Amino acid sequence: MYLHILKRDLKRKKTMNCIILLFVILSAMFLSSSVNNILSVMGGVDRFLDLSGMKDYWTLMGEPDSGTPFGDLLSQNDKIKSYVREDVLTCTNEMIRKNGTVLSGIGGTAVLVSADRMCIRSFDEDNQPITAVEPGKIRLSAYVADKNNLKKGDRITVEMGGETLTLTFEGICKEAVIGREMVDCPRFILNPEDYDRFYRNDGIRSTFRHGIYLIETDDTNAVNDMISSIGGCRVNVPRSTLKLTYLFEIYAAAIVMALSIFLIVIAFVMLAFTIRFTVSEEFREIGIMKAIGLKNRSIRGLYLVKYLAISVAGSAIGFFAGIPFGKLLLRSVSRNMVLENDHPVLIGILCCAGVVLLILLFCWCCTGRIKKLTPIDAVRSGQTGERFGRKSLLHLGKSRIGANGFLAINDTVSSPKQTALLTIVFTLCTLLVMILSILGETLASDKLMNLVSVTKSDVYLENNSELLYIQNGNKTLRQAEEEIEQKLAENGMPGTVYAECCYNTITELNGKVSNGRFAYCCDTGTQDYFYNKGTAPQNANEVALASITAEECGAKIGDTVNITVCGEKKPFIVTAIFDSMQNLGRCGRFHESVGLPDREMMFTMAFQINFDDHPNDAVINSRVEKLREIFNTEKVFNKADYVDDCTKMSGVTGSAKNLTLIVTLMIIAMMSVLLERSFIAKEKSEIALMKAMGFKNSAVIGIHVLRFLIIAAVSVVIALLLSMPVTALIMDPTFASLGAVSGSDYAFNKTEAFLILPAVILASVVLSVFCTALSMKQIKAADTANIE
Amino acid sequence: MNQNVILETKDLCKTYIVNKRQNNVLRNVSFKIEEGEMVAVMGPSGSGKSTLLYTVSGMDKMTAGQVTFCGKDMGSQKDSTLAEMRLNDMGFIFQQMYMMKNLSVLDNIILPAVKSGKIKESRKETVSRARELMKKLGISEIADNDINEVSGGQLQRACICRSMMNRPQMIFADEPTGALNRTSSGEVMDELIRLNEEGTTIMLVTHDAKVAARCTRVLYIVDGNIKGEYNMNKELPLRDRERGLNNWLLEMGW
Repeated sequence: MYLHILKRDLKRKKTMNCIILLFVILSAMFLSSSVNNILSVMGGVDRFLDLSGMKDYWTLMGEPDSGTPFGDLLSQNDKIKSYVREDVLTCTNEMIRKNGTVLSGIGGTAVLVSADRMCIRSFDEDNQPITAVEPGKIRLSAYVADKNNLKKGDRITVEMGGETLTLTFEGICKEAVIGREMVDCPRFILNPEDYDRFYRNDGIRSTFRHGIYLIETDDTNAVNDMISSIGGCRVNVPRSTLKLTYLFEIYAAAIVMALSIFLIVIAFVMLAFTIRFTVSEEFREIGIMKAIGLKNRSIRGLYLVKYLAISVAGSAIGFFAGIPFGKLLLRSVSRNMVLENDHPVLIGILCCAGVVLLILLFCWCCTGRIKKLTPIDAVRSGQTGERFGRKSLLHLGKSRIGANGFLAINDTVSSPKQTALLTIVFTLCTLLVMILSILGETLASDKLMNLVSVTKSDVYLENNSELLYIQNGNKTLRQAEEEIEQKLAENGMPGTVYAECCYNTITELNGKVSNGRFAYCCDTGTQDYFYNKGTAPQNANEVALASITAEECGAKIGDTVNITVCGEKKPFIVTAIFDSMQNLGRCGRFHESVGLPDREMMFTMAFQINFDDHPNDAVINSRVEKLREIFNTEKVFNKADYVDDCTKMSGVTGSAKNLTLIVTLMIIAMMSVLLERSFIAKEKSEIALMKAMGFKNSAVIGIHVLRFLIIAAVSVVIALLLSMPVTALIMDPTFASLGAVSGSDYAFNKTEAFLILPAVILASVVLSVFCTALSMKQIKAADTANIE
Repeated sequence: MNQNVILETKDLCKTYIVNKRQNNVLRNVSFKIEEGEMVAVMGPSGSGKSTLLYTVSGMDKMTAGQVTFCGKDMGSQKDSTLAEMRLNDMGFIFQQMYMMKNLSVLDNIILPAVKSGKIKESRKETVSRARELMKKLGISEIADNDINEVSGGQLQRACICRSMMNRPQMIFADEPTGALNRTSSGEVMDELIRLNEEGTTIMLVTHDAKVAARCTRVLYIVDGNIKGEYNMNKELPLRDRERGLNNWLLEMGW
């Protein structure tokens, strides 16, 4: 009997049941894949670091053949437990080319290593350890391969100190230590024979030979002190800082997770609504079941069995669909990581079981109303005769709106629960897409210029070969700047050039230490920069600290901190605190008169160019292209692109936004279909009555579409109003972890926010409701008398 | 009585197919209704009375035959034209007092007029016309009530008001007194007769001989065929008309 009723129910309400099943599949799919992914990513960073052989600290030291190797110093220091050294050659982006074009994506130093001398364990595309590379072939960090669209078989030329080698791209390599885009130190793995072609050359070895040290210690400050005292360090990263570079992967995964949670919430809200709706619309059947003597428990059991069947079937499909979907998401989160968790199948099954349990719980709660229904409901068609609450809030007689418009508005305001549910869901959907739009726009704009601690210029040129000349003492910074100015003048776009110089520092106050990179610029004034608190440094012994640096060493404005820079410890008065994402928030700014030697600088931020003729944005963009040709590098940017190059977040946000938009539109469409179907079922008699009165099919369909359109439009307006504060609420902590403690100024694309996104969302609603509403054509005017 | 034919059917057939089984509900039904007539359709349950009413009014499609309303062939009209005809030229009253749940009684009554725009008037004038109609039918006090706050009789009279708002040529009523008690039933019939006396043609389906006796003509339908037709002698007192009709119905096998 039970099975018979269940079978009839499933068949009779095929569309509704199919939609519920789809929601269950989506919920199970998203839940299982997202939980698996989050566990993989969160625990995965430490696991990946361990797999790669990362210890507590790593540093890239310049080690020409002469001088005391850094390893000897480490061995003599009792605070260093152990270390391993990897012998590498470094080069700049200009030394590595594909078909004559410089490889893009290499901002800092590229590291060449022999496959048989690797201490940092690297992995291939299938997460298998790389133990060898065939002669004539090369593997390199995934992000560089992606940026240059490298495919297996592409030819890459490495030119160093007169030696040239053309190698075939074999595939990517993944490792956790240096191959991070934010570390900006991509890895190139060569066959030992090919590597030795360079390494045996004394000239190359003396200039480009470096050592990567993986150091095990409980006192990273001791390593910092050593590095500061000897100089020659190119990159130094403690494990804790390295973990921060995975923030974007975690951030991307968090977007996926937030999307999943949101979808699960929507799915469950819809399920709850559907179950409630099913129960309230089946008063007649429930009444008859009660009249023939079925107990509440039995009737409730019938619904529980139905939803158990749907949820088990949906969860099973969702579980299997979640496996490839999860992998797809994970791939989008990071191609650079070896990410796995130990029990993906078990977690997937548990998540799907959770979905089933939650649905049953909802069903149990929603079917509680069965107790209130009596056999009389079957006779009275659900009317109790005791309800005198006013339903009509608006009055057609007093309104100036036409009949169709009035009915749509009146239905909307007369069903507050239904309207509120739809408004909440549409608002959430729209808000999610809006937030990602704002975020994408912010990251692609120059709004974060303050956070990368540079002044606004027309163009930013990154030129590492100039840096090498300066570091080697072959020229001064000013000479390098003058050369660029001369080239600009020769090419008909005269301008002034200056650069921020960055130095490794150790800031200390009352025993608390913070390692960082402090900047200063001879050609700008400290007052040209933004400070959250205090005033710009006025003298050589004054300094502005980034919020995180100040927090790490407990410094406040007015304190005197000791800063070790270029091997010398000096006292500085803290005059200002500012937010910065530079060096993950561990930085500061000296006064322009501090007078630090050019040779000792770690790097320049970029050569900043201000054209004499003050061109507009279009001219600047055309000059950017021209400058790329002149300086033979891709690393020439306008303001917005430079910020994006520094933060490297817009790509993540862009793909997350597209994914979110697709999923959101899918949800909006499915939900609109589900609700419209339920409204048609519920209002069949009114639809027939309208037709009997002379309403055309188009008018009845129009009223239903208009109802959804009104709610969707209101939701879009609410979402627009909430988008900025909610974005700040959600994103400020993320920016804070990158240094922007006081939050960020967000950009807003008016066309996208006011036109494109609302249009897409409204179109999705209108289209799905319209297609569903077409089924109303089947309802005849004569059905007025036949409907129960 | 005006001799113009307002509704005419020729060999009207209506067939339902349920579970691949053919059910011929109307079989070659032919009749005429002239302007100003009030025709009752009677017959046993399942004989096709309501189907006849819905088919001739264009609410349901015919399977074969011809229906002409106000000179227009209903079978050749588009759905949208039929909808316009229902809105402007026809009025409907159902056994159950179907109304839009989210509207007040007054709003339900003015809805067809607002939708149609057939009568050129302001919204205020529409409302005042509706209130006058309600006053005539004795339900002016329920104008602003919700539909679940009034009695069945009042609601049915509101349905009559609604059906009258666009000044239709003809009213179709499907057992308009079927769900009412005797008092309410009498009141509703009084209103319909008053409308008919004012010139509105009415076709109504009923099981009640008392109701049918107040009409001008009765069509008796059995198994989808019109078995007989009874013309009421209006000059006789109601009781005599009723008695005559009952005798005829007995002859028909009622």
